[in-house]
Amino acid sequence: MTDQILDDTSPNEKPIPLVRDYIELMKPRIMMLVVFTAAAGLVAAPGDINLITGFVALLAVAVGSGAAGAINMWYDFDIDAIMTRTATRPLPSGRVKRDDALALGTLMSFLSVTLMAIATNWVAAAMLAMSIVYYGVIYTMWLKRSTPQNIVIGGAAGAFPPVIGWAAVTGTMPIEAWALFLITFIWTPPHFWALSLVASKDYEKAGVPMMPVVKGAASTRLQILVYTLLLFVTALLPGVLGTGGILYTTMAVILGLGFIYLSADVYRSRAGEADAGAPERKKALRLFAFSIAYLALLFGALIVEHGLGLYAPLPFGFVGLTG
Amino acid sequence: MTDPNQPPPEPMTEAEVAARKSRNRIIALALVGFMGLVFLITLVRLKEGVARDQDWEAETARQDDNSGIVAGEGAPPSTEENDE
Repeated sequence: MTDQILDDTSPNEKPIPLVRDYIELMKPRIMMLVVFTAAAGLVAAPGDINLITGFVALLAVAVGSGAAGAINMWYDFDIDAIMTRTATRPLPSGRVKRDDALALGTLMSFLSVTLMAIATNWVAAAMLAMSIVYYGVIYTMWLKRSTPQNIVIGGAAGAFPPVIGWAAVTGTMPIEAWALFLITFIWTPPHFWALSLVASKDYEKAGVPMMPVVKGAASTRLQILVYTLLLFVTALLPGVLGTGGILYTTMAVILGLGFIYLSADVYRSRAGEADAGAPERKKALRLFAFSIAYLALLFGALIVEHGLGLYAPLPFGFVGLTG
Repeated sequence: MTDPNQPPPEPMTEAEVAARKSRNRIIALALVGFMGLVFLITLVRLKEGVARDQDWEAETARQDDNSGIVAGEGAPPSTEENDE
């Protein structure tokens, strides 16, 4: 799509900003995953929420995610232009002005938090505001360019949505909601590092201290495996706490074993090394793709259990929320 | 303040005007959508508020009834009866 726009513009013509360019600024694929995990928190929380209120809460999360994406693209304009993967984004390609991206991000941040506050409660609105600031300021402006732990700490930004969804229903943030937070938080490093193994040259060129650039590919592959093992245990927490039932826990075990298998495969490979070939690269990309499916299916199981009334608590869970 | 020495802006091409119109339409839609959402949320919250008030009134009435029964059944004898 982006290439098509570029092809349509001759070198002498000014690129024309289209609506789809502004949509691209909002990182719609990330937005979808964020809304999905927020929906899981919303559905899994004990208590009822009006259908319209629930819809508006999810819309507010989507708009907030888009706002953070636009602010991220505004700030990362310079490094996006250097990296091959991001060079065709609306700002480095010149299709959208930087000021416009910042204005869009700021306006959408305000609208999303306002919507959340008037539709649900101040706890959910405050958490939404915090997640936007965390991604747009703490991760983008500070962590990303300063430490190889950038996406480990910054991963919290993407992990807030289930807590926001939970707070939208109950006005509280109990341990069950933070267990869902922890899943996305631990999931982020193996997910992102799988991609950065493939794109490490790009990051190096742009001066971004991603783990493979600073610690090397071998260390990154080992850390991917360690985080995946941690994730396996973390994903079982909702079952123990009573948020997830038999269906969720079964999915957590099956998907977790799949994740470990693919991570081990990447660990044994030479993915990310200078002499790595196409098959090695394919292994890392396969892990990256699987990680997206993993999160979607895991939180999907939670939504199905609670949304369709299929929840059946585990016999050994020590807190039965809805059972 | 406009600088008189500044050259006049280049006229927009047809494609640029069309793109601007398209963007403006989306902004208008978003604004109308936002207004509609705020209206809907207001209705929902009013409805919830009314339901809460009705619950509270019903609960208060029930408590009053209960206290009346208790007072009637288990009330201490009056001082006049004691005097007798």
